[in-house]
Amino acid sequence: MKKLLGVTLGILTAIGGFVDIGDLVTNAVVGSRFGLSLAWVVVLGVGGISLFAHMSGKVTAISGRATFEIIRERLGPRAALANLIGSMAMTLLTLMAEIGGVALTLQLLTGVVPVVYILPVALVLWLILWRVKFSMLENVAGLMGLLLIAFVVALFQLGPDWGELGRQLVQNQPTSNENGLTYAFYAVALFGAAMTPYEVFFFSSGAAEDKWDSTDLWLSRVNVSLGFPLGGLLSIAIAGCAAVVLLPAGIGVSSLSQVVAPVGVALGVAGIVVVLVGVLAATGGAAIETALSCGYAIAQYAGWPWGKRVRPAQAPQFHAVLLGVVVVSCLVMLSGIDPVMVTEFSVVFSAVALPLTYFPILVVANDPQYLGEHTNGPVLNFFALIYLVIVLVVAVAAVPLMILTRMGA
Amino acid sequence: MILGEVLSRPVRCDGEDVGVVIDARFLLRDPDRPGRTPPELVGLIVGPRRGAAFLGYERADVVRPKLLNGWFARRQRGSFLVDVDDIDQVGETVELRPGFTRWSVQLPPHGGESA
Amino acid sequence: MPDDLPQHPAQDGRLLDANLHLLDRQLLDRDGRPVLAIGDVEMDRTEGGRLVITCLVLGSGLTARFFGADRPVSTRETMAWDAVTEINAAISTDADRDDIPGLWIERWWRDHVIGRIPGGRHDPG
Repeated sequence: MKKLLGVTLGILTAIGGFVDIGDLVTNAVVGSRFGLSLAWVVVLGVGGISLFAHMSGKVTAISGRATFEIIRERLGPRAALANLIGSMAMTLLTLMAEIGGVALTLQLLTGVVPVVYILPVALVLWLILWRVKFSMLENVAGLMGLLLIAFVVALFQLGPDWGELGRQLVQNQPTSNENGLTYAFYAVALFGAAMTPYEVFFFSSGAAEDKWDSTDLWLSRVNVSLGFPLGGLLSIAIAGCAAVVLLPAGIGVSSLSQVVAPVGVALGVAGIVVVLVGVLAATGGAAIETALSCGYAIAQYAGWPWGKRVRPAQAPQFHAVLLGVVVVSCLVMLSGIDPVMVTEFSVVFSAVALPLTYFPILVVANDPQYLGEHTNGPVLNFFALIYLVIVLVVAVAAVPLMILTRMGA
Repeated sequence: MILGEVLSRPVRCDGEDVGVVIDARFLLRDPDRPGRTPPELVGLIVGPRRGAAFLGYERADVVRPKLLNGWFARRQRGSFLVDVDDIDQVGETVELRPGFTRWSVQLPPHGGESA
Repeated sequence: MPDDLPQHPAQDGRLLDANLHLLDRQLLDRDGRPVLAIGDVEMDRTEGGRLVITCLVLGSGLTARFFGADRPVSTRETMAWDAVTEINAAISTDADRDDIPGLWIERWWRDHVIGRIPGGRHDPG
């Protein structure tokens, strides 16, 4: 049974990576403006993150060494610090947005202003990080997040013109009233969102928390094969719903209520409640994932003990980081800042962290000192190298595109 | 002496630039009980430029992915080991004795390294 | 990538390249738990005049590498070489965690913050 539920690590990682509050809104925005013509980017992103999450999970399971330890060891402390700063900025911004996202969801469920919920949400988040077992986090947040399948159900229920959707999928071009630069910006944003460094930190550190060893490599493959494609499917379904309901009506997406509106159209109030509970679990799960990733990355960079599987007193600085990031995020969100806007900025920092994260993982995945006989085969290396090039291109293009298109306005 | 102070120092001989210190090689006489005898300095590894040596593609038997291996190994081509006795002095620069020998930087395959 | 240079005679033992095999690696205590990253390596002369590694300098080594030799030796956290038991992807030692002076910061956090919050000293879950 333990091994069956072992796939929840992959599901939770994917949920925090593909359908956190930022992605929920971005996918809906993309659907309402571009239809499904950017779905190929999601597919590309799923391939990339599956590859690298699996590699980093493999390295941690077999060598016992965590991802950021490897980054420091391969790149040296200065380059690794540059990565750490970029990754942390991005992950911390995402954590702030998730806390805000939970509050926004609670507003839609209860009608109470979000800012009232910020402090209680932060407190509950910290308590969960402090006391709840890792396995329970995975299982509860992961499985409840699956309620987002309501978007898939809603898409079918809406009875869309499948021919039209299919045409958008294949077209791969912006619709008539959008220009190529904006299309490129959203392609880069979607790809960067699918391959965030914190997913890799979380997946590989989670593998250690779940005590995977060399006999669990099949489990890693199952996790990535199930979790990330599922995340991608949910992303595309959200875009699809927006494409069917909002695009023809020319309705823009600027708030969470517009993201879930199509589900209401298809499945009524019951549908909205179900999907909102799913959003709650997904944004809550993403908050847990990003907070833990901050702790993992900083502790592993410094060489401190880390992990939820030991007593807090045995990993005091790791827990100090968790406490610190939750407090900082809470304070920032109390100012009433819009969580979605926060995630839009985080893409910029991700651009720096992406190549510096993936390059060391690829190198170590080929090192017999770390992996013994389990080093990468030529096929894995081939695809991994291609993705490394894509990641570099995205890293270079992200900031100029952001400036040129004014954040995709 | 702290190794970090010596790394990246320029290496010269007879007033000519020879390279940059990229590593220091030690011999561990009792590999099964490393703590027993402290590792002895065999010599310094000198490379044509600093940086990228951390991957060790030019030395160890990590040869894949081939593309990365090729690129990084080429960057450090011309690296060599210089014996400690061929080192005249270590200061702001490392001065080598004229007529010093260039030894191979190749490490024996898996020399005692367990997975 | 093989070169055309002769192999150095020093072969009777295991060859270690400090930057490649030691620097920036994880140091573990006797229970296999992470201690700190290895930041640098300290050498000294034996009675015979040979230079040998006497201890490992702990910490990310950032301050040492950015500011050079200016930091006094006594403030550096070190681990004597004779504690080393294995050299792999990480460096294992037989050091008892409570006997490592370099972990004073960790102990401070444990005793003054984390250990004081209810549940801090209990097993998780």
